[in-house]
Amino acid sequence: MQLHKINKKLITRVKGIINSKTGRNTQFVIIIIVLSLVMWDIYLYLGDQKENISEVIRANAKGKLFVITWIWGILSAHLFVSKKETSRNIPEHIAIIILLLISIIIFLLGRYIPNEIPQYMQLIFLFFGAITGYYLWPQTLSNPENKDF
Amino acid sequence: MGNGALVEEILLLIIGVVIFFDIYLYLNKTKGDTISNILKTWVYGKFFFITYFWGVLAGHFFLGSYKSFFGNSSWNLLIILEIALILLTFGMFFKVKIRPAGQIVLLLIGLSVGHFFWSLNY
Repeated sequence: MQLHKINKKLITRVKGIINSKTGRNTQFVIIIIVLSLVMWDIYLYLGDQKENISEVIRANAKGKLFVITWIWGILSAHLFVSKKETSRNIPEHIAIIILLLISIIIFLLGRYIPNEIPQYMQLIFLFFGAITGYYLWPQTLSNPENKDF
Repeated sequence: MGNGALVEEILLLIIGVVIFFDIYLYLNKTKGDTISNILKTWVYGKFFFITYFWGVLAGHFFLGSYKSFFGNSSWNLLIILEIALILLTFGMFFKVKIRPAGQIVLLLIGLSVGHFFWSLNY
């Protein structure tokens, strides 16, 4: 009975978010941003292959700004790999501050490394970013069995 | 350098706008409407092809094999989009749901596909 009640409450909450104006707005904004990035990239690609978005991000990540790779790893875990509600042990704002501090250190490190970093280092940054993101800044998994999702 | 600097500036601007928008969404009264929440809702629902794409982009941006299977042709992109389409179909029509462990697998599949099929190294 208790469980049923909680489940029902959750469903109404999720429905509320999906139907709410702000949730809709967020969805709309994400789609608009992604679509414009894709179209802009196609435009750049047709113009000059060397300077489209991928090339710019890649050139920066391979050079001094490998903090990009690290942040990409963190976001991979934050956005896509959620944890169960009970397993969060660090408050979110403290976790974000820790992640920011590590990111600043990696950013500063990048400024003092003269050469391009090798490709396997990118993989290592991506991997450790994801692990750190998973343990420090996961999202809580709301009932995935929920049919309204 | 020309265009590259402009691309960098515009990208930074977009990232800045997205961060401020997300902070606003976090602080406003509606709970669970931040960008992360919406994306989570999507990938744990029908649209788990997004997770795969995130992995593909990671492989595309940061890794990249030195030898391509098909040369520098559009076959590569076609395969990537084909897999995304298959995932989307499974999500939309077969009511497949992916748990966190499955999301990790999707990320890894995307990463390897991005590395082997959509490399910037050749």
